[in-house]
Amino acid sequence: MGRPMTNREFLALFEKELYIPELDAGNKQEVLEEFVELLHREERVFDKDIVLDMLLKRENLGSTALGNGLAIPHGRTLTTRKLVVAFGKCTQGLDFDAPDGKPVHLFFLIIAPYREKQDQYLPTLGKIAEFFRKKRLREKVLQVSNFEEFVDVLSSEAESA
Amino acid sequence: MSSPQKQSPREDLRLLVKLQDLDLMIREASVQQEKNLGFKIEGVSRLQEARKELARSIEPRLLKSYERLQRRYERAVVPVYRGVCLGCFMTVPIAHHQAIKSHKTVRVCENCGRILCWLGD
Repeated sequence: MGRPMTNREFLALFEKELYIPELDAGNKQEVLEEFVELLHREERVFDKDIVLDMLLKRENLGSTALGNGLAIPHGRTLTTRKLVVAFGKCTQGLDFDAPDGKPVHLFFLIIAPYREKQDQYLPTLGKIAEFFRKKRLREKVLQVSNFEEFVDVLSSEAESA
Repeated sequence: MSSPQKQSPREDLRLLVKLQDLDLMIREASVQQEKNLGFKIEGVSRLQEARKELARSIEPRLLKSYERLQRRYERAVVPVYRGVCLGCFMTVPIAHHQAIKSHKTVRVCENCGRILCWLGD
C-alpha cells in the first residue's frame, strides 16, 4: 500500500469533467455503465467493454457499497494510463447491495492502471472511505448542486480535519 | 468441451486484457488489503469460475502463451506507448506500429516477448 495521502493530493483527484451532478441510472449495472461512458467520452479509459466487465466482476467479489449511502466501485485495468476518480450523486438513492441494506446516494468510481508512479490507488480508496464516514459531510455533499460547491465542501472538511 | 470460436485478433487481445485484469483482481483479493478498508470480499470462488469461463473463450495457443508469460512476468499483456513497450521499455520497431495499432495480428515485443496492446498515444 502506498504512503498515506495528504488532503491536498486528495482534493486534486477530483475533476469537473468527471463530476455527475445527478445520475440517470436506475440500477447497479446502469450506474457503472453511466460512469464508464463518461470516462470513455473524456478519454480516461480506452475500452468501455473491458472496464465495465472488470467493474461488474469486482461487484461479484463483493459489493463496493460500504453502507451509510456510500459506494466506491473500483478496480485496476490495463486500459487506463493514470488513476482517475469520478463522482456521481443519486438524490433518490439506489440499491447497490449495501451491507446495511440502505440505498446508496454517493458514488465514487476509481479506476487505476496496474501500477502508478505514486501508488495512490489503495490510499485513495482508504481516504474516501475515511472522509465519508462522517454523516455531516455525507449530508452536505448530498446538498451540493455543482462541482464548485462539491470541492468547497471537501476543502472545508479537509481544513477542519 | 467445445473449442472457442475463431475471433479477430482485436477480440483475442481484448479477451486477454479482460483475463489479465481478472487475474490481478483475484491476486489482490487474496491479499485482503481492501477488506481492511471495509469492503466485503467474499466471492473469490465466483471470480475463479468466471476466470475459467473466460479462459475457455480464448484461442488455446494464445492462452498458453499468455499463461507462460504470466509465470515469467507480472504482466503478460502490456501497452505500447509512444513506440515503447511498457513491459521492458525497449522501442518497438516503427514497422510494427501500424500492425499493433490496427490489431490485425497479435504482436509480441521482440525484446521481452510480452503481448503488445496499443492504447493510443
